[in-house]
Amino acid sequence: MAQHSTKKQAVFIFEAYRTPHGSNRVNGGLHALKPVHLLTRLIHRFRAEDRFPLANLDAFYLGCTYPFDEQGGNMARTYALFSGLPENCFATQFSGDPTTGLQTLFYAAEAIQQGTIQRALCCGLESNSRIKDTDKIGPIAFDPEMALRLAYVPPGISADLLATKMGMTRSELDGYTFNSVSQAKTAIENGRFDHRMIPIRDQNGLSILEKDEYQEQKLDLDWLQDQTPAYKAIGNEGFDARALSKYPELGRIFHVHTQASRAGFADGAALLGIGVQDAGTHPPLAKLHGVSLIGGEPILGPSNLIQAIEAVLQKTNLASSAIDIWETDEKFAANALLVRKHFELDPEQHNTWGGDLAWGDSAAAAGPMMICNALERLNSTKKKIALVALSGLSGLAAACIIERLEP
Amino acid sequence: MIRYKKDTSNVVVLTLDMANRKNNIINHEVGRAFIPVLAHLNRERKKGELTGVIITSAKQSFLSGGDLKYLYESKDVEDIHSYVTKLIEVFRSLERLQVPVVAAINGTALGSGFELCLATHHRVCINDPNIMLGSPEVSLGLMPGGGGLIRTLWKLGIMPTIDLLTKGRLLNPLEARDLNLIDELAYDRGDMMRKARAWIEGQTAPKQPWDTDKHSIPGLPADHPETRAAVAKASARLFKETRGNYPAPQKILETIVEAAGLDFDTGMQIEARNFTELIAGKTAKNLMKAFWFDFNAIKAASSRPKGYGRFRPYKVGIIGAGMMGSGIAHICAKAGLKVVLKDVSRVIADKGKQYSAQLLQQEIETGKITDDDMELILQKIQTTESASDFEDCDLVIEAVFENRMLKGQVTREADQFLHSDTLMASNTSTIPITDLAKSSMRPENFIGMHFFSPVEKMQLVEIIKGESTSRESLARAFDFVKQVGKTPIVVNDRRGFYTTRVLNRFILEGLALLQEGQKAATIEQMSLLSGMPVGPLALSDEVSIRLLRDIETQAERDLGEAYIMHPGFPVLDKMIDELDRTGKSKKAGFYTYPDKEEKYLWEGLSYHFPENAEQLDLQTITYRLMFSQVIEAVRCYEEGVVMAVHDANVGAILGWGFAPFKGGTLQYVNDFGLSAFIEVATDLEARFGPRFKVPALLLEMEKSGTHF
Repeated sequence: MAQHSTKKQAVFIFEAYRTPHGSNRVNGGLHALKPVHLLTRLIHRFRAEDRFPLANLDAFYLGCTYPFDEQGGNMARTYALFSGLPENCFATQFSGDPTTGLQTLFYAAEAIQQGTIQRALCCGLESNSRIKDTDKIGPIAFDPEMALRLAYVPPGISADLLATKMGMTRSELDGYTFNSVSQAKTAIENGRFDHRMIPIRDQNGLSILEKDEYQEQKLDLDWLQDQTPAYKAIGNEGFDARALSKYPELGRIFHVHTQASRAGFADGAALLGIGVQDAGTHPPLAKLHGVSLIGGEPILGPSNLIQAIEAVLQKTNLASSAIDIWETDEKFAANALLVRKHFELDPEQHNTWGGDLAWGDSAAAAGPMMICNALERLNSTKKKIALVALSGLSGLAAACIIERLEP
Repeated sequence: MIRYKKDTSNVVVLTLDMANRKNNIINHEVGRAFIPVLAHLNRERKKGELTGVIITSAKQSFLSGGDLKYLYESKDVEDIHSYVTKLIEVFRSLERLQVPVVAAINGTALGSGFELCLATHHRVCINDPNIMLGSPEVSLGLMPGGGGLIRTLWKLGIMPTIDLLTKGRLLNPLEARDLNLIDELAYDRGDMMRKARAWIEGQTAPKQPWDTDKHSIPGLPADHPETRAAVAKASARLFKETRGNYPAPQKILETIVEAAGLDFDTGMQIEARNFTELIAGKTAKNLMKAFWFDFNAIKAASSRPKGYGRFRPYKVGIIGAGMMGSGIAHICAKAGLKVVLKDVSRVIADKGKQYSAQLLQQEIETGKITDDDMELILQKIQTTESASDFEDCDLVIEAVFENRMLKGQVTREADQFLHSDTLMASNTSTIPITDLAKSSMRPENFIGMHFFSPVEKMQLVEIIKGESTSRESLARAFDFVKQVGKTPIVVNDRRGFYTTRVLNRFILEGLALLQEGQKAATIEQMSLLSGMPVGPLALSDEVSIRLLRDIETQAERDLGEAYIMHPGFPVLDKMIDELDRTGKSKKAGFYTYPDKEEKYLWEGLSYHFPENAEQLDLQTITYRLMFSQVIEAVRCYEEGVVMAVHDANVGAILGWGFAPFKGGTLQYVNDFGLSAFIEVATDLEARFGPRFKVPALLLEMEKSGTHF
């Protein structure tokens, strides 16, 4: 009888880089760059650093919410080959949801723990500005049969529903927004992210985007206050009624989110090299303790962040008090406030260098990009444990915990 | 440089008129010169004192393109990018001036000149079929950079733009009007200006279609399944044509496809970046060098002896009405010369004339000439069997079979009827001119003129100067070649001259590879991938394997002990003596030539030339095929066979299709890098023999830090 080894392999992060965030506009910083080049630039940096050898790679996992058009076909394999990853490296993609960036880590880590593979590249990539909005809407919205049965409401209505349920006020959300964006501004201006961020250049070596683009306008208090509720109109059209059919006890929805307290989209990508303990040529940067992927009630979607976080804490046997640094999504100000309130977090440990409200939501790229930021925050504070969490669509959510290792 | 004139109706006419130049071009200075003009126009508009703008040119042409010298010399990507970004800004502000802007196109507008036209609201062009319009950048390894590509795309749609720009197709005014790239045609300058003014009268603040909300790229959108399929095919077709060696058409295709899915201004950014990449790249420099600078050196007649008046022959005699003779007769007649075409019998000579008739008939069918033109051209060719008809010829070209005795004989026969200053030329690819000149009573009037087959298509003529050839004869030969529309290079009289000598190295290297046990298909494929138009085995079949052996045998006789047998030589013997497969004319050579089907490599090859189990790496095969030619070309230059770098480069490209993207044989060394070239050649010499020995010239050049 062959001996069964029940001992699971530990999983480590050896290398992590991200691109800057580019805003989701036709004149956005990354708009004129083909999505594949977000990856080629990251791979180039991996090669230059050579801390995580790409020659013996087992798998390339790519998370991308909208794998259409320039991100279509067998995107993972095409992009991998185009970027010069070895032909014998398996490649596959996860798509359809912003949690897919963290899904890549989940599946890679499971396979590494089982000893099935030794080394994997996990990537989140999203060129939101180059994908048509019509490609982003699925049948849950445009198919009346599905929309009715699933009581579909747009994410903004879910966010206002959450805020209403939690009793969050407009000024509370605006206040959170202002603080978060000013923290982001400080962090960007002080080059806090630069160590794990690659400047994007064109094929001639000329600069395209060196720093995160962010919405400085949100720091204008007058502008902030002048914003009208973003979802009141569509709420009135019927989505409020649909949401309230599931939450009748609320009676009405307060439309407290504005263009300011929602994130909007961004372009960006991040790449992580993970593997067993001796997978790199250098000691690992961090240990990947665990990743949770959960599904919960869809209408109040973002509220499932709490379950995802609890799931990963349970999986890793850690108490929430053991987490030094928190990075959670800011698709809407309510999402972040929910986590902050629920776990009674000190603002000094939660999203202290800003978040999506400043630079936008890079969807599937967001998870891996947040891990890069978390690594930098751990480094600069000499802390150990960080938690990254984000909500997806229709009640999905994901979280992961990493531990910084001394070099 | 830009003349500014405002009339009473507040219409400003900007007249491009560059000082000290035959043509207007756009360079960074012109770009800059436009900026204050635009600022001034804007001020006038704000004061309400501007109704419209007309741009025209004081030269015969409108604007002939970018400043190639600047582009050729520029290396700094930041400079190139900022130059082209400035150009984009200038054109963009022109079309957003908020008053009507008209291009009054009085002459040829190419490249940046055409980009300027596209950035106006209305284009009026004189309807002269000699005017050329369009974006020929691709032929010099470039692409439009000032927004010409994006504007063409937004005017024509994806597939028509791919067709125009990847081929660099030029249009006459009528064709351009049919494509909607020109809005109005005019009879003459006056009519053009009237029409330009008339159009302005009816306008207030016209916008370009792409600056209006509703406009999109015409035709099927980028993500339409038909577009996707067509693009996939276009990209494969491009590879077949270029083997991936030409970045310009590829970048043009990439830019069109990417920009088609994006907004107008993002498209501009991508155009500017890809333009910068091309300019900074090696291939564009190689192509600019060969097809612009080297060509211009030939046009400027730098290899022609100075001090002799231009030779204008009136009547040309041609001996031999075979393939070459009738081809030469044809091009002479087309160039307006009277021709006496002689062969041993009038019947044969008539057949030669018939060849010209056939070619002209084809031109009638494609609408290039009329029946009357054909009649006129054919009338110029007089056929004969008597050399006495040469007596009033200014030039006689002998084009009989490649045989010393025969050539000597026909020369002597003609010589007696020629007057003392008739130029006598021999069309030969191998026989020493100095020897042939001995058959002539006036060897100083005797010269070699190596035409290539088919004469009507091949651009090159290799002029061979014999030992006794006078400088004046050379000047006259040069003038004649230019008069019949060919490109002359001048070489000295050494065995094989330049083109035959170097090309044979390529063929023999291919045969040596076969002899060594490399797969025939690999040899042929690697040649194509290296940019050669035909593989060495197919080429052997074309020129005839027997002729190749004759040339080598002659070399052996001429050189005696100094002769080193090429390792490819035994293949020739085997093909002729053992296998009786001597080439295409026998429908059996390295290839098999079935009726009505494409040729394919003969199945027997691998039996008679057994393939090694372990094949050479592809890189080494490529190097051997290319270095064998380049090293021989360097030797030719070193020995003074070919005297000018531009003659060596252009001669290689036009003579035997040597990888144009490398810019020619000597430019190949520049492109490769001199030290790297020496290193590879040294390695090849050690592994494959002294034929790869680095010429001393290269070592000297390395020491002195010079290049070709």
